[in-house]
Amino acid sequence: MKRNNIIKGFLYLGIASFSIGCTNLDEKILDGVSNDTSGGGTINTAGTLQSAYEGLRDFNGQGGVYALNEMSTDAMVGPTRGGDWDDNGVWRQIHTQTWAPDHGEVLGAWNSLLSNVYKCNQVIENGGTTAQVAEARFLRAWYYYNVVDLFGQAPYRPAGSALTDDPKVWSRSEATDFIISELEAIVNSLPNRTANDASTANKDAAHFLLAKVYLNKGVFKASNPAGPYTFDAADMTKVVQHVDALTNTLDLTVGSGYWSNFQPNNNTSNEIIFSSKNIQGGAGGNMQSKWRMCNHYNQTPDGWNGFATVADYYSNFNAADKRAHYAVPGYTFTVDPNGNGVGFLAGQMYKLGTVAPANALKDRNNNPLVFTSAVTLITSGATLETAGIRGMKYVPDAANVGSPDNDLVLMRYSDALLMKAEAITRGGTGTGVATILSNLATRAGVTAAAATLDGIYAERGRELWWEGWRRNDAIRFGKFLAARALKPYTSDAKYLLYPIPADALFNSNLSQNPGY
Amino acid sequence: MVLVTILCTSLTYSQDVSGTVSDASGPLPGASVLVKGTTKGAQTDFDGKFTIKNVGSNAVLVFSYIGLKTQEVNVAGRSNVNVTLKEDSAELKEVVVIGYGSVKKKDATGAVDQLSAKSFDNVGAPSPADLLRGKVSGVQVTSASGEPGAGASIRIRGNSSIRSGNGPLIVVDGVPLDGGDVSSGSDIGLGASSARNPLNFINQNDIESMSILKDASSTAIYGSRGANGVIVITTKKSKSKEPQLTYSNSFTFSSLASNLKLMSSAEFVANGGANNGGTGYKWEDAILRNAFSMNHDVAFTKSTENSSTRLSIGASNTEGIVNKTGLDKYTMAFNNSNDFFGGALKVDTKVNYSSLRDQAALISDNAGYIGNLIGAAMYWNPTNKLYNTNGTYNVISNTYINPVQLANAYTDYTNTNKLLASVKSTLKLNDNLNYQLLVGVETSTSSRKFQLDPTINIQNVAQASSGSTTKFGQANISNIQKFNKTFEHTLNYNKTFNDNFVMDALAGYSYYQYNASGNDMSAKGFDANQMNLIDNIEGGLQTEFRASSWKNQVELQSFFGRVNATLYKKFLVTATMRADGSTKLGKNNKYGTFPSVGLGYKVFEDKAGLVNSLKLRANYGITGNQEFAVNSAVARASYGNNGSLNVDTNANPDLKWETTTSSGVGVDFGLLNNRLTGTVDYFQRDTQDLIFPVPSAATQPGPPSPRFVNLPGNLINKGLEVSANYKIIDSEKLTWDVAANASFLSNKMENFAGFIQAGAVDGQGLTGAYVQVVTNNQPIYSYYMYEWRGYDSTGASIYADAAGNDASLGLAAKKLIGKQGLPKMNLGFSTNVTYKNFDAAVSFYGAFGHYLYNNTANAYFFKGAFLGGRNVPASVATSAQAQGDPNSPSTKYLEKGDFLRMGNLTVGYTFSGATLEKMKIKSARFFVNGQNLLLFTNYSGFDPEVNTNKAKNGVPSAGIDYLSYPRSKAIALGLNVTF
Repeated sequence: MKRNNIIKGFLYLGIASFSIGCTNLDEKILDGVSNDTSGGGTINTAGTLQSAYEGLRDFNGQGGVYALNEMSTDAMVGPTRGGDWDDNGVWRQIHTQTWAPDHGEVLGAWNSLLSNVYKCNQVIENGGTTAQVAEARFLRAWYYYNVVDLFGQAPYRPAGSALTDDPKVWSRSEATDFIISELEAIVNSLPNRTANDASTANKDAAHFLLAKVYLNKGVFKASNPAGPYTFDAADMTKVVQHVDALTNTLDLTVGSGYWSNFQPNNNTSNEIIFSSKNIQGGAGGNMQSKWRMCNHYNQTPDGWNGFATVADYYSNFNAADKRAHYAVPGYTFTVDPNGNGVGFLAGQMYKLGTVAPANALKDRNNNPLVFTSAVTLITSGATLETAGIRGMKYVPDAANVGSPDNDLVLMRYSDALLMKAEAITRGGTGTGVATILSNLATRAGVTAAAATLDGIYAERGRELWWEGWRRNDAIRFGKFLAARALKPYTSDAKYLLYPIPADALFNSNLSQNPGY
Repeated sequence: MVLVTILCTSLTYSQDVSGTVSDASGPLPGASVLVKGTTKGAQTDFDGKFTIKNVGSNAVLVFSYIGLKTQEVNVAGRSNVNVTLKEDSAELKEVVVIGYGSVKKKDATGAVDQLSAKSFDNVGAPSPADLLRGKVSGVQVTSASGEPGAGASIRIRGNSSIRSGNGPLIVVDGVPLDGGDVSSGSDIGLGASSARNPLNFINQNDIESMSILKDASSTAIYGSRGANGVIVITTKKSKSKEPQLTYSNSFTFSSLASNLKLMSSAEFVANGGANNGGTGYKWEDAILRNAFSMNHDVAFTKSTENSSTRLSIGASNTEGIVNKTGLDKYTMAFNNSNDFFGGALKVDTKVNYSSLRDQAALISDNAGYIGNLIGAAMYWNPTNKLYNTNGTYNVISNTYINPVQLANAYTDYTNTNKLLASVKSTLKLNDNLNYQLLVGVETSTSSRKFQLDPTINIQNVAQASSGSTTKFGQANISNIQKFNKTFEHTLNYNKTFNDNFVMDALAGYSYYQYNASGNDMSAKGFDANQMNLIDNIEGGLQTEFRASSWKNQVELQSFFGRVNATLYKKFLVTATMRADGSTKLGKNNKYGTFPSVGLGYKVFEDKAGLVNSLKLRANYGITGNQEFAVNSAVARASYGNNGSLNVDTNANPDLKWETTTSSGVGVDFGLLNNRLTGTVDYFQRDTQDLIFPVPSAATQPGPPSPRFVNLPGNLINKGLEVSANYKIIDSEKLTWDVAANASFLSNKMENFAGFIQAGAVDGQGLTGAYVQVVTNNQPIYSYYMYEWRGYDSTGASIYADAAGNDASLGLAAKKLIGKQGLPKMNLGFSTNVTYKNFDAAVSFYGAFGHYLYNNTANAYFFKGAFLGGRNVPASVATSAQAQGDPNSPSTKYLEKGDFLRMGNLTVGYTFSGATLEKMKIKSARFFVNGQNLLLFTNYSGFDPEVNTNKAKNGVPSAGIDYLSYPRSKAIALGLNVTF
């Protein structure tokens, strides 16, 4: 009897734990938060907006959008140096315009730009404050501008659609209209640009971006990406008006006025319209690549001995041009034969200190560290490590080379002024082309460029070198596909747009760009 | 013989015979003693004693006991006959452990192999995975490297998933393990290293048997986790009646097995390398050592009529052949079984506790130009001195690292404590029905601490700026906690209705909960004099502190059932069904159902003649795989620095299991008096609904993380498995067995639209490079790269272009080259000989038909590296390659991976006689074991048995070798004593 009771008790115990075990299997998120608003949940719009800003850091590095915009032109080459920088051929392919849909940097650019669009959508569609929504709409327009410029078509998600749905796709023309309408809708809701910090969305930045889109509208709305491009006079006048609306000023100090935009404390420059903020030793993008992508291993600061400029591009600069060679006062971190710190580095490189034979550097093969203007796609022989003139666009932050204080300039007043000059030259209403060209040249210590389209194109190449605009300019001026030193052939017109990354075609609404 | 026996018997007179029957562990109660040719016999009593009256003086007594070898002894006029029965592995195999029970091998319908402790020939294996290698057909075990305790991939019948999650489910004493990493990986800035093998916690001396369930009819009872096969590990319990103490030890001496030759200082200079004055540098000497390891195990067992207990304690100290590496392991296993209420209730308690201390060197999977420890030791110019005359390290530059300085500057310890405990209560409800409740707990805590001393300067590694000065040193601490619960309720019904219908049935419910959490912290920029960075992490720069933490939970609940029936003693039917639900799945697909059926037909059984037994088997079933990250199905975001909210996952409410439909046929046979036994199996597995993270590019604008979906496509695995066992000689004094197994496997993607990159290649100039793909009509992990054809007159590499013509690198075209990283054939072979007190065993295993990608050679062994001052093999230094010829991934670095290895060679001697009895020793055996003494391969790297983790975007790789921990060869001496 007792035994039966115990057995019964045991059975009940088992059944009890059976029922404890039965569960509804709802998934829990324990180390994050649900981002699903379909069930009436909310998301943290402030945090998401912050994250959308941090997406701008992807522009800091040497790859991605930056490489697609500079290395695909005559301004920059990424030579393979023996065992260094082959990287599956990605850099050579960009420079020679032979990329394919599996290109890693193309994929990286696509993912970076559009995942940030998504963050902006989250803020806009999920109850962000009026101010947050305005900023998010500006950022979204910026990311979409880059998508339209690089890829033509642009995928989007209608508000309220499920994440499981394949995104829909705008044509290049539709996406351009969307960007313009968005910017015009919010430009007056954005705050004024703050002194000493242009890293937040502001009225000036929206005006700049509107000017940029109107200037390129002839390209973006062309039925054939290869043109012909028609630049409507009304659009050009809009460019002039938006530039005129800017509150920025140009620091006309010879030399240092230009370089104040690229120093570690460049947030103080009144010329910067919009930037990606970096904090010394703290959070930031891969800003160190601005010196390390070029510098040799044995230089100070040491680098990865990669990218260079091409002789033809370098020869656009007058020897006196302070934009190409400049010794930042009180700053002798990098030493080239002229004792210059920044700009293009050519010839023998030296250890820190005085320029003396005893301080001449050697490369890792014990050849003199002399950067030569001659460079090939695959370097070899005695100049294996030294071929190619290097560029130092930003002034390295000596206090923290790896995680510097320099903000990344995304929009600059010089660019706006040159856009205005170009727009007027292309038929827009306005004046001051000669003054603009003269001011920029005087500051650089050279004579002004001719007030023609060719003159403006050349001046853009000098003033804005390695700032990420060369591809956009070259296409607008019809020079992108042309034969050049390391690409001795005219490229197929399909290369005016990058291919849609192969991985993206899992979205059945996307079709590959023509020709790929 | 029979005639002689009859003759002899006819000439005899009768007497009473008594004696004691024992086995290796002592007196054996319940053994059967039979007078041959009669029905006369007896069973031994509780003390192993028996008495049979009126036995002829020349009668032959047949002693038998389940699991032990039957012995015949001629009475020869004696009145007292004492016999010690030996274990018989073949007999042991008769009963095989399957999921939720066991079955007689002859009645099994599924493809199940069981390996008992007897056939473990690996001495002191850190992980049970090592014991399986080469032993079971259809099972491939590949270590990531030669490091003690390195992760290993176990593949049963191939790879059925295109991404991770190809490993089998491991069940220890009824508790399914969660399978994830128990400890953390590491990354100090010179590449990441993988976590340790999560199975290291089991002491091999505590394992009674391992059952490998290969086909769907045996794995479908594990439903959504059965698709990759199941390994059921059963730990030892007490078999002896009287108290028994076993002590065993082994002492192992190991050294480098590989013969990878780099240039000596003389050769380096002779071939034009810079002479920096030093001589005698060898990379092996700089970072390797002759290692010494030892193992000690003590086990105590005792049983009474209704209780049995086993307690064991193990301690092992395994030194790796790379300096400052090794694995210290302390284990405790307790096993108690008690009957209550006259056998109506049985309670089995098992507790397994382990404490592991793992020391690692800086050997990462994806080092760059600067290298990891192996890379730095290999590229070091052999004419460089390691030390300056004043005793300090000779520092070349911050990208050309002194290997000894690197070895000494890096410290990396992982401490892991793990408890696996279960209580199983079996209640006999009536003669046919049992209820069983299993409650299991698996809990572990692991802490990995690693640091790079501030004394070393490596570019972009472990340094931080403080004002205008740079400070060095980095410390990381990563903790992982796991707590898993298992509840299983099962009802067993067992009935023999009549001779023609015997049935047993099982029904059950399970609930599992897997909890994991962890945290990581790091700091950089320490005072130059600080040495104990990981223990005083506050010393880092305040701005360089980083911390993160994570936590997740997975719950599963399942309903399952199985019916086994034997009809007319010849037909066997097994039908199983499991319904599994999991929190991880999309909310529209929370449950999946996994059915299977297995059929068997015994054509012959115990028949005399050439063919003694023959059984045909067929099976069909559906199993699942749910190895994807938790929170994959839901929209998830998490907070980053300064309040930013980052979107992590893309919701997919439809996400469901990967389903594998398997079918197979098999034959079990016994020939020549059952001396030749074997099995042949053919199978086909078709995996659909492939779980794959769709690249985020396709879901843009969307979260930057991929979205897990079930891709359309079929991953087909087909294979043939053959295993055979032949007792060539089986006499009292001399036995000789041979066992061999072979598996042939083909693998192909079908109806698949993707072209998925896999097999990342790393090193200088190789950023973003990959050499394998998963695409339609090809085996997974097929090689995709340039075809290399030699050098032109300038020393530039010639490749093939898309049309197949010679081309330079700029015009070359990558293509599928029709070679795969997965072996097409695996072989295992072993033989055992015993002669009187001597025993000897040797085992071989090998893999064939696959190619290895030598990433080490790709990244480090090319002319430009040599001319840049780095050491390479002499053939590279003297090659026609130009200095500037880029080292693009190509077939130049692809090599055949075929190998045959003598895994183990063991010679033992079992002591017997009066001395032992005097010392109260029941048995003692001394052995010498050699591991990895012979290897046949043409592969030029360290070792062809390698699988560096070169996953790309979550898709794993196969057969890529990159600066991995070299394999050792070893000699071990050991002793087993039973008191």
